[in-house]
Amino acid sequence: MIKNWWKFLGVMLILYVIYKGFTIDVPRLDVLNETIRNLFFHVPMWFSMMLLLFLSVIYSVLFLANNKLKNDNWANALSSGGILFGSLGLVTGMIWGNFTWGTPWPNDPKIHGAAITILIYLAYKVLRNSVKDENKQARIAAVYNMFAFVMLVVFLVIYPRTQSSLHPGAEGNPGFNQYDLDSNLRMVFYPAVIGWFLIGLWVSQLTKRLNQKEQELLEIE
Amino acid sequence: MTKNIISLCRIQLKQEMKNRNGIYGIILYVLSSVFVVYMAVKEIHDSSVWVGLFWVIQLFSCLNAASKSFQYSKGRDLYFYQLSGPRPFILSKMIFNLILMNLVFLLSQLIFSLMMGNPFEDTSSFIILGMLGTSALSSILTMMSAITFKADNNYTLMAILSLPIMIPLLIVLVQSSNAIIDGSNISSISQNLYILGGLNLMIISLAYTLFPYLCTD
Repeated sequence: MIKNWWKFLGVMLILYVIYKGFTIDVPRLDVLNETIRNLFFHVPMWFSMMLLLFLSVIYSVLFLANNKLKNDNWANALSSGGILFGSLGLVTGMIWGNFTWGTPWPNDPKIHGAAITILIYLAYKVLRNSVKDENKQARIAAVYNMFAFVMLVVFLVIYPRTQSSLHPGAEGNPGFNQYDLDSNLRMVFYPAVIGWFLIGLWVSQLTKRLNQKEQELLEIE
Repeated sequence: MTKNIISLCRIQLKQEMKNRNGIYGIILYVLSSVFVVYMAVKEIHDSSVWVGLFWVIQLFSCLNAASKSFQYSKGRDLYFYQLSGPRPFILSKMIFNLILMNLVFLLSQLIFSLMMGNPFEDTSSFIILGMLGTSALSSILTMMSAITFKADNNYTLMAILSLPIMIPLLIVLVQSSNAIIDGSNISSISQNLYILGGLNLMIISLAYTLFPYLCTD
């Protein structure tokens, strides 16, 4: 019970975010209007995805350092969590974009980055599945994971800065940058980020246990 | 170590020369894919289409060339690998691929310009940009080829692994090529050149540190 405090915290925060997110007063901004509430559900997905993938890389490095399969299982499960949150981020973004921009998939660098992140990590899964031997699989996957993450950081962090984006907060767009993200929104936004991240960790932990049980079943057969 | 790398490169060159199918295959691949595009498009009025088609062809030619880079690694190469250790081995593969793919780049640039017309006024800037970009492509592809070789060495896996990783590079290259067509010279796209150079160094150092882990069997 006490060991799992963070799961309760995550659930509580998300319940709070869902309630507050739909009921608080939001500032009326051009174009955005009520859709600014997507800030609590769309933006934290990307934060969680990046954090989960970052943790996944850390576990890959740990695996290469000490060769314990446990670390590789974590890296695998965390990358699954990352893919899940990335897909959810894309879906929430597409629903939002449909109302705000009139199209779910405009030509925007941030969307490209997100789609490519998911492609890269799906490739990571394919790579894992194409190697049978457990140790070899773990090693190859760890190397690819590190490689992929470095390219990803270049792509998600550096590349969008050199481009103009349709996303709110970017240059020339109405929206929330540091100045008009008012304190009301912050009171919900920060809990949302922490809450979704904790949920992501929980999902990854469950995935890891599921993977392990499946592995054990295979060994029995 | 430098001595090791140089002799490994020479051995690879000799191997390629002895078994020329590989090199002819690459040249033919470039020729026929350019010709396919030529038959499909005939004339290009929009220079950004030229740039897009060119880099896609270049991407696939490099992919094709790199997928063969570990094909001898079961026989004699394994012996050389044991003699020299993993780091000189991967560096020599990278240097060899770098030279090979830059030649492929020059070849496809020549053929593409002959068939589709040359939209560049400042061709030398484009060649400098292209060689930098191709070097980065070749180091990524060499590493991916090593990973695929360790997995089960099929071409599909190689494409799945490397295509998404190469898209960032492709975007930088296409943008700077378009900028050159629009009349900027080499100094005004220097930011992109730094990105390419930095990326190249980063990939090489990553490969240098990670390759030994890939090979411990």
